[in-house]
Amino acid sequence: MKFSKLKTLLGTCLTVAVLGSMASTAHAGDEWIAKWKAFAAETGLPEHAAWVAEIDNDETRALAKEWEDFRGYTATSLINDANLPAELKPGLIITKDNIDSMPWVKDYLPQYWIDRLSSEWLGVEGIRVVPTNHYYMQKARLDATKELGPDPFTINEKGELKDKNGEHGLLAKAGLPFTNPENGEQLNWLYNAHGVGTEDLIFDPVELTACGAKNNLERKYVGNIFWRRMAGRVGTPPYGNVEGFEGVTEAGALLIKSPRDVRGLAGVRLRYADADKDDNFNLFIPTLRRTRALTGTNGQDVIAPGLEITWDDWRSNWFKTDSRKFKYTKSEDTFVLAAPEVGAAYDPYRLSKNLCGLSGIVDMELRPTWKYKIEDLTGSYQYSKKEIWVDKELYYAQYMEMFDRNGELWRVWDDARDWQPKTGRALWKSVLIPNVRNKRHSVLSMEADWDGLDGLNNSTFNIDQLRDRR
Amino acid sequence: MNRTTSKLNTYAYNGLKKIITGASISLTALLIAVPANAQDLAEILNLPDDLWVGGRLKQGTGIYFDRLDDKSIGWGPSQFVAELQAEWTPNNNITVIGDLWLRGDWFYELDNGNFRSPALQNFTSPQSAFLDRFSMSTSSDGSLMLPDPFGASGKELEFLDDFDDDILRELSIRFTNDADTLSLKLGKFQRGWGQADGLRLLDILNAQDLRQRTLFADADEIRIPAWTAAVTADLKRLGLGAPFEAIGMKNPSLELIYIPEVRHTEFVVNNPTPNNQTSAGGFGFPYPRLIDGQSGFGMPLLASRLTDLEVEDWKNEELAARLKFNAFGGEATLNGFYGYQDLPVVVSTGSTLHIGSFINDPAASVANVPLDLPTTIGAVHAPGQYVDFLQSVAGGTAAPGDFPLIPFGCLDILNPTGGGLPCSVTADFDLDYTERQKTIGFSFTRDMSELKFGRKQVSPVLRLEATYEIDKAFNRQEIDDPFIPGQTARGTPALIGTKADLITHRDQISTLVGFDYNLWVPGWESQRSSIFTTTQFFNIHTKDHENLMFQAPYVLLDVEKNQQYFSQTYAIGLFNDKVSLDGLAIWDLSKGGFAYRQRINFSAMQNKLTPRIEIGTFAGNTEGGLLALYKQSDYVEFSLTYQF
Repeated sequence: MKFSKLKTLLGTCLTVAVLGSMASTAHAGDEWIAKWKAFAAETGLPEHAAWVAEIDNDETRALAKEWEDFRGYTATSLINDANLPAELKPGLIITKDNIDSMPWVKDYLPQYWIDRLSSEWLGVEGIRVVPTNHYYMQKARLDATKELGPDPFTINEKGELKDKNGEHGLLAKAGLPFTNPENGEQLNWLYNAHGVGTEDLIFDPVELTACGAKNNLERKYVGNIFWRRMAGRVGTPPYGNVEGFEGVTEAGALLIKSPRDVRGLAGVRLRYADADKDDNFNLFIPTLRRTRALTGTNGQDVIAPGLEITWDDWRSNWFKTDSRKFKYTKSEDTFVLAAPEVGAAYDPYRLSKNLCGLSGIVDMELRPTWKYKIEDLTGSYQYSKKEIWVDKELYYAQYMEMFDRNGELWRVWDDARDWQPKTGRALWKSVLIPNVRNKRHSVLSMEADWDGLDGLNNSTFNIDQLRDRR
Repeated sequence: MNRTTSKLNTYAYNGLKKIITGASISLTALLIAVPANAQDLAEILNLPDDLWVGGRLKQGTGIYFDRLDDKSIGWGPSQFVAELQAEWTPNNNITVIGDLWLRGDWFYELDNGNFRSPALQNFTSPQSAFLDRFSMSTSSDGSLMLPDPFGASGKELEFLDDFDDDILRELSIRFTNDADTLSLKLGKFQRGWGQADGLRLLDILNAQDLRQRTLFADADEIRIPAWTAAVTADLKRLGLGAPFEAIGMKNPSLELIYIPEVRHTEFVVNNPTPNNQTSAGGFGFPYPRLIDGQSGFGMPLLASRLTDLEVEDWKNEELAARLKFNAFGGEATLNGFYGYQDLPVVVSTGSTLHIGSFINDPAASVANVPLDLPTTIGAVHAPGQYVDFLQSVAGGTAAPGDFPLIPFGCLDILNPTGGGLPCSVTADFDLDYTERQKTIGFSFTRDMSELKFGRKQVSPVLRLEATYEIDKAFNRQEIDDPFIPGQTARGTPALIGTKADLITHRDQISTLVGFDYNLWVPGWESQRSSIFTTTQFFNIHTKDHENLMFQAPYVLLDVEKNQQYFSQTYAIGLFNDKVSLDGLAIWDLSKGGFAYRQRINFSAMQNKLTPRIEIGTFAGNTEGGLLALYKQSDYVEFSLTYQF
């Protein structure tokens, strides 16, 4: 065979291979959208159709593809590669009547949710499996991650994330660390780096309920939550690290508007990168008409009377990474059924009107996760252990369990994000925080103020300015 | 006895009926109107997001125990509040707030005259050196007939109904620029400064309302709002922070405050004086002992008429500035205040001689002779006059005919059978609020994260505050005798003189060291939330403190060189925060006084209904400091608050 023919044949083969690969990739990238379209048509539910409208567009496909190329996998590809029960597929509705016929369910559905099928407290009629989505963060975060180069980070003896220059990783770099985590510490930092899933956050409003065992409303708070990433900003100005907040990685603010007796209560919490520097925490107390500094070392109190969410639990995991106090251990990779991040279209929990119960069917999707646990080494932390299922695409917790000092399950964190497929930005829609020990729970229901994000400024994180904002 | 009991029961029944009826109608109307899951009125009315309205109805009823005249109990504070609030935020640059509240206390109607407070020195008790006193009712006017002539109905406090002074709690508009770096707030509102709780060092922008719950009122309810303009500037973000940051003041912000409406602290002296009778029941300041400091004798036949002397609103003003910044790992402020004293000095202005009444009753007198200030000073201090006579009685040298009012046709109290008319004197005093207050100070608060201790290794938060008040006005406890050089007058006679004689000025340095701590109790593994505790120590140092009155007209209450207080609070939620306990204890370390307030709060109806039991108790020596003034005012109140 002449070399020219060989060259032509080789070229043709390569072309076919490349085209074939592209076709295959394009097909894989679209598969989840196609499944959702089919599923929505099958259920006929308007919320499912609404979600399809959110994902069935070119921007979503393009951004999903970029992340898929970076990661080398998708949730769909991981599921396809796994040996999963044939019945575990979209459309399945798990109920108390059929669950016994599916002994494999316990491997994918947390026991907490299994118990909900036969419980009055936070009980549900069924759990519907919906198609698995492909999640990702913003393009700018992806670009920043690509720019990091090989082995950009290390973790020191305190558990701090450091770049090659010894600077704190979250202050010096905008890219995500350890996107293929090898151990618990690396996974913990990847999860931390997700932050709130975007640069800025406004909930207007957020409703927080304290609920009893009969799904009765005991208290309800209504307010605003504001959040700002203060370092490594790439998606929205101000870019880089925010002036005036040197050393701060994130700032969160809470402003209560209801009930009347705590209306105007405002809190600002700044998180420093330095493991030895505790949060700066100021509270404006309306009954004092004055700002009080609170200790950043006490994150174990509930945010407001009656609630089940502590300061260390807000934005899912706020207690500070410190290898001297906690041990981070990665366990086996696993799949979990968890609420889909479809808040842009609907609330998959279908909360009852009083925000204390679940009104019927809860939607869940199968997610590939890395699982790790955080064990308390001090012997005095509120939780002896946390177990966290971190999504392999979104780098955020799909499900979390917290254990009391006796090692018994105490609280659960489960949420549904308001994730924007076109941009990869994510806020929240709903959070459930059940207290299994006392059969009480809190629900957070949030309206993401996407339009208001451009108006967010640093004054929001100045307690003296926030106190006058109603 | 039976008749008394029956009468009491009838009054009690009628009183309870009024409270229950009023509260029931209000609550029922709301309960019917409010959907179960609606959290506030704005939600019920489905108002737009930029408008919020809400409010509350509160009704309490209680008892006073450990009373003046015996150990009996009877009606106590039965206070009510009806409050309506509204806020409008049309955009990010404007916030408008309105807040109206009507407050009052049914106590004055329910008590039917039973709660007693000390009154004038008893002129019929020379055997006690006139130290025995009449008492007065604090809920009904006196009979003006011996043996129990005195009382004040307190009706003016049954409803605090002056629109501007009492009802309008806030009406403000706040403008801010888009970047939120500069804001202007105009209107009637209150603003808190400083780090101290309970006792005020820097929290001096607003005067205090002590009429309803004295120092036990909540901080936002005790402050009296005033018409104010406040500018707040984020100097750093405005590009003006460099000079401050160069000397270590990080993130500086400046607050400038202009208060054209000068308010002073509102309090009521339980005053039995017939033409000036006032009462605030258990929360009124007890009428002061009238005592000649030299002889130790009470001063009979003397009463006092009190008049507020105030600066004129809108023509006098208060100015304040605060620079706030971060330094030393905490937050600091530098403050300056140029305003007026919230509490008065007492200045005599003259008197009235009542000819025909032993009990200062002008209506029962055949003549009421006004005496100007020089005449009054003479009548008190001149040789042979009132103080001289009293001291001769004390010394056993007084004889019939020495009584100085005999020339006015008055009956000689040393020879009552000698004829003449009963006489008495009412001294006129200004409660003078025109003295300037000039204070500079600083505050500092810091999370002491280097110190971690306790079960959960929590750090305390340090609060420091210090003020330097320049030329604070005091009444003198001892004045020069205006007639005999080298001699002095002490006690109540030291209140009679010219303002120059009576008032002096001293610098005062006040400091606070306080700690907040979240206590996780060792061994209480299931403790759901921490016990929030605050501990405070105050020291108030007065230069050249000798012979100064702590607060006129309490003439025997002196100023300590270092007046020290200690306070301790705690707050904890129980039963998933359905019940919360909140305690406040204050010790007057210098004078031995003590006060404690315990609240037990409950949460019901999704926290819309909040029952509360509040217990207040005071202890100390008679007129032995601020806390001891209320030693006969221990109370328990049960209240219901419905918020909407």
